[in-house]
Amino acid sequence: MAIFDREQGHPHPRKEPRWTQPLTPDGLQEAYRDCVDFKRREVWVGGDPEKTLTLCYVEGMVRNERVSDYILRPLAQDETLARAEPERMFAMMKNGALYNLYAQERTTTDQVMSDLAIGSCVIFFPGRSQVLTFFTGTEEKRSIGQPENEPSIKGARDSFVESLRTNTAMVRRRVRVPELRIREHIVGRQTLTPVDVLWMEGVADPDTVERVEARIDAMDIDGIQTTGDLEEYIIDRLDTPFPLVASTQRPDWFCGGLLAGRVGVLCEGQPMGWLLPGTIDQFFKTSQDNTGNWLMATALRLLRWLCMFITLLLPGLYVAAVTFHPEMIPVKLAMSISAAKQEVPFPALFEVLIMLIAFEVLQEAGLRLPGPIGQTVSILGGLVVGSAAVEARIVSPAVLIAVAIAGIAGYTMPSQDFANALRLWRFGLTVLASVGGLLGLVLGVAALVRHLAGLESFGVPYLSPFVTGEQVGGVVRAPLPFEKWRRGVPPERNRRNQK
Amino acid sequence: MKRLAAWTLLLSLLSGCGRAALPYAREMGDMALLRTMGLDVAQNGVELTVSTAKQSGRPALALSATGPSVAYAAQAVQSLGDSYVFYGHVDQMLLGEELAARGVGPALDHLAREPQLGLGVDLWVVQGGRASDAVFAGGDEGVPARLDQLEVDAGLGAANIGCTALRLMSVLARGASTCIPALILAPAREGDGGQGGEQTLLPGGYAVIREGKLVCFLQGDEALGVELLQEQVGGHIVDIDLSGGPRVSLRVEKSDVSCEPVFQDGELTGLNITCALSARVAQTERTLSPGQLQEVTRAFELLEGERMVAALERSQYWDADFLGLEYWAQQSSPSRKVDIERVWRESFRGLTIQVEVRGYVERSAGMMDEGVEHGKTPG
Repeated sequence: MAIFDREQGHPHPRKEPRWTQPLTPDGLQEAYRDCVDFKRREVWVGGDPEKTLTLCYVEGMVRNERVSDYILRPLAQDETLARAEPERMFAMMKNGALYNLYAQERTTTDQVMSDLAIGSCVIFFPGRSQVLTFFTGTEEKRSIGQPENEPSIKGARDSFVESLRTNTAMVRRRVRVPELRIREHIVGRQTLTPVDVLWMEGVADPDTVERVEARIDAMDIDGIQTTGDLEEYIIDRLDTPFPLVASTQRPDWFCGGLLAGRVGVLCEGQPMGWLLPGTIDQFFKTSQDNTGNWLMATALRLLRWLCMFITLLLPGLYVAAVTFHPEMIPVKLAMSISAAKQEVPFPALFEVLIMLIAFEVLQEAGLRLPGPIGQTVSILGGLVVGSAAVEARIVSPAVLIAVAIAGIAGYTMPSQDFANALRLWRFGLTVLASVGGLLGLVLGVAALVRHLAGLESFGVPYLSPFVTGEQVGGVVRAPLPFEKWRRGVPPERNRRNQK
Repeated sequence: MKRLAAWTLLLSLLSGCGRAALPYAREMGDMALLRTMGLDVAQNGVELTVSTAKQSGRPALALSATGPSVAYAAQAVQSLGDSYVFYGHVDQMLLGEELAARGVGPALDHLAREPQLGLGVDLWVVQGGRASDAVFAGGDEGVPARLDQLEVDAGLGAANIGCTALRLMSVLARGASTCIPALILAPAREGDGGQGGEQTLLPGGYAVIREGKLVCFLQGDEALGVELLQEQVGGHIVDIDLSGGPRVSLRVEKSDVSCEPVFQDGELTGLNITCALSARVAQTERTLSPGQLQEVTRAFELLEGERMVAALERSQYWDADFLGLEYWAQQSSPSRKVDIERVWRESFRGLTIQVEVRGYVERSAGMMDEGVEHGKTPG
């Protein structure tokens, strides 16, 4: 729809160079004026005041021990360095006289600013336009914990954290070949956030890689603070509530996606990874599927699909049956519903909408409150409000049961994003069912199928593998020795994955 | 353009302009969900009596109206009471004897044409009474509960074989005959399982429908003979008094019937019906000796054979093949199917029907005593 087309907008050129200050200690200090964490100090090489260098860094971004041990100690104690001429001293420091692992020669203020932002310190040499930057960043970060949103019963229990390099290391530990490519892009004018694109060379589709990188490069925003800051800029369409990229907290699931030919994206500050392109079958699979028996995994997948239909259609079916097609309800159930509804003053649609909205309110309240209180509110709210509404004859018990079943069925979705999309469509389908009964419901479902069929993620139909001739593979988890082909991401290369 | 058309369609539907294209909404709380319909002959045509079931402490609602046609009476019922009368859950229909004798066609036609109704409705004929009396006999409990129980009993063999409107209609469409269960309206008494009214409904055998009209009722042994020949036995009890010995009760468990047409000079002259019956000793005063078991088996075969013969005689007397013998004969001699079909109507009454019964009585688990064949029972 036109209102969701990406606005080409007004020119918003990136200023080049970003910082106009000269590459000098004073220039940096000017750029960082009123920044209490910017530090500058003079250092005498070998204790000689004639050989004074200037060290600059951002406090908190660097690890103090590294600066002291790897930078300051050799500067103060290395006699060879102290005796060298300035030109020689620069070359020695760049090539190993300082013990730091990383040493970069920089010539522009923009480069130095980027290095400072990631935790480097800068050494200025009197009379030279070049400077040296040394990465001495702190590694203070949240320790690797369990994936709370994707719990594991059997299998790996590590989860992505907010540190990009830690995340890439977790991936690299699982996929150790150099064909695992990791390319970095800096996104955000104000945040300079590194975003890494990962793929398996020879397996992933190069066009997809290119598209992903092009979209990330095209992002000209202030910064990335939330997952949406990245997702909404790289997906194909904004006029859908359905997730077009799959996200995961689990490195093992992420690596599985890479091996299947998908392209991964990791972002500094985000404890999750994205797998592209996103197809509908991904949102019904979990990492647990491959840890258990294939029959059980298939049964659970079928159950998830069934629950998807239940959560989407049950309230609408109830409204349609009670309002338009009572003959389709079994006799004794119809009599029970009829008896209960005789005391309820509201139409079935109103009852269902009341309960659906109450369900959403309780869920939202539970999420916003601290854990234990949130759970209490959810449980008490559900029990008290539900039973009180039935007692007060505001809703009939059947509505309460239908809405509760629909809500609980939605929680079986492995992807919360997908479940949210279903919640949204559920309201629409319920309203349509109240207008036209089963006819309205069927029309709504047809509209949903049409909508899904029109979606693409990086050139791949969203309804893959059901529209690419691999219907069975989308639902059934075959025994792993029989899964000899990488599924679901056409057109991937090197399709065979085992003997 | 497509989008404009879609929006226009949606808005027209939502605004009510497209109401004709949408189903009509009605809240279930405002409905009286009918379960039972009764049809009788009335002075001006038809009397329709309907009833809901008792639900959640609310007494059953029974309404009655008359009209020149069933559809008219149904419309008249709609104006009664304080709820919308919904026919979508009607699954029981009672036919008064007089109406059945005049013809069940109008009732079936209404069931077939009325969108809320269907042909899955179970049928009963009220023997010697009116359907309206039977419906009102349900009292506050409502007659549907009693009829539900009769359906369950039929499945258990404790009541007559059921018949749906669809089955009756398909039989009548072939010009054949059939029998549908009959009910008797009897005064209620303690212990009869009635619903608290002054009268109660009891199984009353079968009503034979030929060419769409009631011709006779089958009761007692004739009704049991029908069930045996239809292979629909459900455990009826046969009491046998041994000569100078104990009384033995048998539970009949299975009936397996085969029917062979007999041709002489190319003409159909008779039928040989063989019926293998299985029964189990349900009660006896002492353990039966092998000789006594043989005697029991002989008596069992004789008794059940007489029942089948009684049913067959009635069938031939009324020239109503409600047992489906033509179909059985055709199935056993497919090559003579056309010949049988050609002469059946003219020759059915004059056919010589021989019945052979083979009884198998099981006196205890795992010990089957095969009965002795005693030749053919009187045919």
